[in-house]
Amino acid sequence: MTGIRITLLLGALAIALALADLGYDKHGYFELEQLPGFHGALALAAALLAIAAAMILRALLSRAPDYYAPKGVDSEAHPSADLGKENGDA
Amino acid sequence: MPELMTPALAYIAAALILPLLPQGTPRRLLMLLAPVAGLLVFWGLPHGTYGSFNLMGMHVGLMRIDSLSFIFALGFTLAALMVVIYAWHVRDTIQQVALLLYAGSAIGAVLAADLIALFVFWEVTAVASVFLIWARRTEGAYAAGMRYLIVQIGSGVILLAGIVLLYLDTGSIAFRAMELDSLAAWAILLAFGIKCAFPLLHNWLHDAYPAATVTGTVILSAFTTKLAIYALARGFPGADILIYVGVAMALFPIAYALAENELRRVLTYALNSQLGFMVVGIGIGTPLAINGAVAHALSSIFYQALLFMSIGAVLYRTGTSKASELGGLARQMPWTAFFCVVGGLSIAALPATTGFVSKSLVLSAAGYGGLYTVWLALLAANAAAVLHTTIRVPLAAFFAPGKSLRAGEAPPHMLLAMALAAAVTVGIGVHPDFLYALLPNTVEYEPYTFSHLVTQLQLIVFAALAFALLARTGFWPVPRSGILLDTDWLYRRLMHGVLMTLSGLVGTTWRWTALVVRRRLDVFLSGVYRAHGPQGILARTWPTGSMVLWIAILLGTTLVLTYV
Repeated sequence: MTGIRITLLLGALAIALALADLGYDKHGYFELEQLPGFHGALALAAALLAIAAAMILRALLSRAPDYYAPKGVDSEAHPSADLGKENGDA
Repeated sequence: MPELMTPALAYIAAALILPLLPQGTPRRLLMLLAPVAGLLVFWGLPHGTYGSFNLMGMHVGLMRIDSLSFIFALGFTLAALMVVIYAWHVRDTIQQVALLLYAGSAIGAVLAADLIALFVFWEVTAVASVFLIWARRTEGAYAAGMRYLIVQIGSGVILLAGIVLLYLDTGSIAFRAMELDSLAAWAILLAFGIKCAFPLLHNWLHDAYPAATVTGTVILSAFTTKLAIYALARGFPGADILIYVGVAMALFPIAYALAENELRRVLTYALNSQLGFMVVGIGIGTPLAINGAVAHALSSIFYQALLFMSIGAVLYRTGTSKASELGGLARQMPWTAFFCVVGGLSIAALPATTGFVSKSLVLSAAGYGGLYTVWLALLAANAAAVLHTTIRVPLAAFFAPGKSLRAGEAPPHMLLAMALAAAVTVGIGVHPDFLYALLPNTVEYEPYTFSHLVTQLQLIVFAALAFALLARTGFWPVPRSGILLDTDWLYRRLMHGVLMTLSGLVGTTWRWTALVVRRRLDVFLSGVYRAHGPQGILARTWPTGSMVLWIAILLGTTLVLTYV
């Protein structure tokens, strides 16, 4: 399934779920929850905000793997004695 | 076997015997036997305190069985069994002994009847667990282990200080709910907070866990932070401050989890965020909320372990767990990929998983309590979990195209451990009554209402849609090599820089002072030498007449001054 199809499928599913809110008596805790698709809209906003925050964070705080020490955990290879490498046939 | 007093002794005995046995089947069987024996110690015992004795006038109890300690002890026992199976291939005595001591002391701690017993087991968990990091046997792991040990022992020292203060205040070492109205209670809360990875006290988690061995990280993920959740639930239920600490915990790791390259570290940020849900539940403190915190702790043991195990298997087979170096492994490791997806769906709280039936309790408790902003924040954190774990982790490791990695499927014992964790994750998700029956408070709760199902599916599907749109528009962060600075920068760089500057200043001041003193001393000694040296004025031979003359002058002057 291609990316565009997945996006369309998710879009259709999202709309269906938002519309489903109109078809039942919603038992929410707060007034705002009664809005159709409230949870979806919240998730969409939270996801976009989180990605924006991650992009900013990465732009500001990203450093080379050996930033703290030339032989830090992030810059050294995982010791082979702890591994069980096995080539697959794919 | 109540005469053993605490299940921890079964694990400790096994840890002592294990090095005497040959590698292979005997050791493996002993490691399997320890959790079973430990379970038999407390299984079926009526609620009460066992293994009590007097220590310097204090009444110490090694094992308290009640609904809260029982569920954690049971969860830890199942986790111990699971990680023993996952670590079946390990032939490293240090890791084997550390696993037994760590799991046993964590179980001992949740069953401890008082603060002294808690402190002892608390410290043993710290010391035993660091060997799972050092067992990697690299310079980086040694340094990370030292930082981890300093923080963990520091937490223990603060706990001990709190216990001493509490004993002086109240004359009691009982471990029960406390009010935050004394220095003792604040010290104990701080100790628990460090182990629970509260914001700004959290960095040991992201520093140490990815530094451990393949199996070590899985083992670490199961016990330490859940032990802290137990301690908070026992000691500070209903402490308002925990609501806000929990919200901050749930939110701040999100951006890190989305931007971090090392997948095992991504999972530690995800774990930190999930701990926030539990801390919020404890802070709300109603029976429903406490049930939610405990249920989520138990459920998180399994789905987090599932995620750590799957990425651990990837590391085991490929030698890396960095997103920038992985991708396309789904064909070669299909079962591992499947289990990773199951773990990811559980953290997203998809219906029919443990995440759904446990997280719902906390969210409902926030809703019923009228905590609107808290409820909104937790929903947002749930939506973000869909991105940073449910989608990002399996995508980076198994489904991202363009990589030509070759790897075999995870070994059968690792798959078996993952299958057990997945079975618990889905089993409890489908039949939550099994879990709810074990919770400390009797509360009627039905997670599977139509309204709840639709709203939760909305949350997940819209978050997934956000990912799809971001990926199509090029805004989804592509993994790239590097690290992200976190608060450990404060002590690894800033404090290091400050100390180096101070050291330089002290050194310069010392050298300058020594130079000045030496010069002054030289001048003084030269003066003394001039006066008393072989050619000095005082070393000369003076004629007697001259001496008498000077004495006469001195006496005359004295006489004149006396009468003037």
